[in-house]
Amino acid sequence: MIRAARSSLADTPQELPSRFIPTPERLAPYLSQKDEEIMTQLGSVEGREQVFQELLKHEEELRKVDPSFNPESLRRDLDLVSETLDEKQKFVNELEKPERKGIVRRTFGHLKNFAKKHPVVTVLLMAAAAVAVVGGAAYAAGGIELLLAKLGIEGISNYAEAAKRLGKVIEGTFPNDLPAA
Amino acid sequence: MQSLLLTSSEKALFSALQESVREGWVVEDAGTIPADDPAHRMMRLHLMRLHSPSLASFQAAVRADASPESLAAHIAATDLSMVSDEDFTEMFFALGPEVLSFVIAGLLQHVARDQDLELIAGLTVIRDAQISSKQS
Repeated sequence: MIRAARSSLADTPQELPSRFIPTPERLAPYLSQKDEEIMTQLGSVEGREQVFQELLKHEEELRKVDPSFNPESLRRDLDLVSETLDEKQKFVNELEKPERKGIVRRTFGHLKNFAKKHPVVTVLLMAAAAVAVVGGAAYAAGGIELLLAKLGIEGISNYAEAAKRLGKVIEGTFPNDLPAA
Repeated sequence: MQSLLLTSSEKALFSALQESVREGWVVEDAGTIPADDPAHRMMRLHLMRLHSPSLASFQAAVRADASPESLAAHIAATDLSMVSDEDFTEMFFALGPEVLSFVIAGLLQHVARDQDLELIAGLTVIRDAQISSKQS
């Protein structure tokens, strides 16, 4: 969760304006807090309100980063970030339940050691990892379907549907300040 | 006996498999797959954090050249064997239950061996965890 190098408030490239999504990493420079502290703060209504009020003090800077910035969207996005982080933790907890843990480990093991035998699953997982860093627009116009075709797994409507949903999800919103992982 | 957690349409696909492949499997009801709107999917992707070195290299390569043609080469060149379970969890969370359901349905149409069903069974368990995390 720690970024290798944090961008300053003003170094988001102006030629590539991106929507400001209040992830913990993007909030950190404005709040002068660690990602983990921000995640905790986002978990409560009061905490999100404090974050919201603090960000409004930086509204002018935020409009330079994201010309479409507006407080109503920010409030909604803060709620959505909180909800998603909460859901992710619940997902982790659900996978760790005794009745699931063994089969989940085996499934991950299959995908690690026999990736070429499971091209559809591994390609879609990695396509998600790609979309996470370059945005859906790069693959929106049938790009992931083209990818499946190049890998010889095209022509199956279910996979095409999966690819479409993944590729079109974040058209035009480039999370261009995400860490390189 | 091993279990598969399938929706009604997936049960029909399973029933169409050869009896020798179906033997030894118990089908349980997966219930209804919740709708997954683009806003939630977008946020899951924004919040994906991968730490395994091979995936870091993969994402760096994608940043440098994001064309679909190059993506195929980047994927083919990436070794998943040392990727952590945590990173697989992150990627599956980002996909969500709806995308995973399309994958499960597609895979069910091409089952040839018992091992194919083992992978599908694992995916249905992961999907079940995704659904539970949305409901709890």
